[in-house]
Amino acid sequence: MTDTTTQQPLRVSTEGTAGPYLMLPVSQLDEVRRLLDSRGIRHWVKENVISLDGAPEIAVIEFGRSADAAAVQAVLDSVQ
Amino acid sequence: MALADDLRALRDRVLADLNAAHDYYTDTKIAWDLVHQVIAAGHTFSIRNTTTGSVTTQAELAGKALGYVAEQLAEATFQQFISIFENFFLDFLRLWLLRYPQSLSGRKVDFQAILDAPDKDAIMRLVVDRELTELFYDRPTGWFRYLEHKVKLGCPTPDEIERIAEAKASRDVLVQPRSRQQAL
Repeated sequence: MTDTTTQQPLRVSTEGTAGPYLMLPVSQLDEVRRLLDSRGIRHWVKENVISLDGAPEIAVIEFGRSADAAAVQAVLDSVQ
Repeated sequence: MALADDLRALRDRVLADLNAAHDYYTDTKIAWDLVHQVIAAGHTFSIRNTTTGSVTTQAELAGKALGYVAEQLAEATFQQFISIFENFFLDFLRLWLLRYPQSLSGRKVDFQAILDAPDKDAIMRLVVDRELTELFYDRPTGWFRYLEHKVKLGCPTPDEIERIAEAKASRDVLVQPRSRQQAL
């Protein structure tokens, strides 16, 4: 799946100790959540969304410490 | 495991907890400093809470951050330090009393509690936990009087005990409801 604001693939990040997470434009949040739900991937959305220097708001989806980042990435990559 | 090994393990765990708490304090300050630097560099941002709908700008966040670091963060870290110390003190005594339970030989136990306990160790844990629960609500001077009576370490000094007591009292003031603080 592509980030509509950067035209780059959406990438699951594994930085930090809180488990994998995904940063994405708020405008794509519903679509991605539907995809994750359809594949049974447990997740939740951080309640704050941030806009930097007037750019579109960015949301963060978290998957939990025990989540399989590669599996989530594979689901995202399976969609154009 | 021998008592000495248990005490060393406890020491190492508590020192690691203290270091982690201090790291959290300094790392959080650094994170807020970075936010200030981002703002100083001319960047703008807004944060929207999708639950409440409230929006915070970079200027508002910078203003809040000063209070977060100077008050909430410092207070929370201080409270955490005191809690870690309290847990260390009680865990230290628990290990000691379980190793030398004869020092509590004068304590009474309900016969029903004995019937309910699966073995002698469970009864000892019951007596020790009850002893420590009663001690927890004593003054810090009472804690160290008890420690000296049981363990005979010869430390900390009266001056150190007084400083610990002052720190615990300060923590107690912080965790009291604001309404009660104002009434005092």
